Amino acid sequence: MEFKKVVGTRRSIRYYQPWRPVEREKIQTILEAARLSFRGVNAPFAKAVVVYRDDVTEEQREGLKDPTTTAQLDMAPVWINWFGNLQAVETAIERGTLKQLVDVGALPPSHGWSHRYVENVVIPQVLRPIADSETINLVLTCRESFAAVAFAVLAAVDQGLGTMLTSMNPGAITELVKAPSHWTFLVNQLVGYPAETTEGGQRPREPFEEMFFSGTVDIPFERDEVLVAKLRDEGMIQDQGQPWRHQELRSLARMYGLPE
Amino acid sequence: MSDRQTESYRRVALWIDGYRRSWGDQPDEPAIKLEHLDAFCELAGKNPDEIIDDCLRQVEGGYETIRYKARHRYIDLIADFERERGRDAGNTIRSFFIHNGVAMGGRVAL
Repeated sequence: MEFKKVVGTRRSIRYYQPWRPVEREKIQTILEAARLSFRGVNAPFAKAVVVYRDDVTEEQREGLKDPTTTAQLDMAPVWINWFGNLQAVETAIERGTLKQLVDVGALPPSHGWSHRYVENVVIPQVLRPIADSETINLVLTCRESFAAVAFAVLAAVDQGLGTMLTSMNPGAITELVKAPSHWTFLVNQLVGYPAETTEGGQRPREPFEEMFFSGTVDIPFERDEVLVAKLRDEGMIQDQGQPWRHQELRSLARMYGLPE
Repeated sequence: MSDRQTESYRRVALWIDGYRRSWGDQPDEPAIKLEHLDAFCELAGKNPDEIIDDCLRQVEGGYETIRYKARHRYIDLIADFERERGRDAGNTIRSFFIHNGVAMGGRVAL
């Protein structure tokens, strides 16, 4: 699928075809995309554990649910459980990931980078303080990990899969996948073939000019409506809501025996 | 439950209002649903307002927060009710809770 169409077609899918498995290569492709996401210091912030719903007992599944993560967990056959690795910066220091980036030409001398700079300045004066600060380390870990999650979401959409990010009982999922104590649970990515259509419409957003600014925050970034029309033609911008959407939801609720 | 008419309870009115807002006016639906709700109230030994009040706590600013232990007790009670009366009856009660602001997920039979 063309990139703009992938972005425009993404929805949080809450109804899946529970009977239809997801091909292993599609799951691997999602993980391959996540592996290539940008990440600070080239550190291994994002970790994921793939869990197949049918490998989990009903009791375990119920224990993972929270008030808003309910039936979708029953329906999606694959759950990619994303964690943030709180030892990522430490690992990057140990593995010399910044020096690797210097060696492969990603961090060039023209921008001030050298092995000596990494050893004498960046590690002791930047990375060590980050690793030693619980709050900064947590914020950085969450921020950097979510780039991988975003890539994973778009990779799922690109392959015609439904996907959404959802919360979960963090203690229960950490125990289920035997995650080490330095991994912090971030989010669960449900994956499966969608039972609902994406033509139901893009989700509402606040006006463009309320989100984006030019130079200073008192000057909105002006939206070019000619470009908006072009992006609409290319599938990035799609209609919001359809008159039949609620009928679709009701039909799905009845098909799956869910409350209305 | 008291002998007040079921639909005269505040929480029943809120349920029907929320249900209609979500799904449009369904004139034949409330009667079926009220019959299930009556039976559930009988099982719980409480009226509709008392059931929801068990699950919600009023907090400053006019908000309501969910009492999770009470919610879990009702989740179990609905499961018992559903075993006896079927999925539709169970979902009717879940719908009553949902439209009163008490999140109550359903379960898909796999």
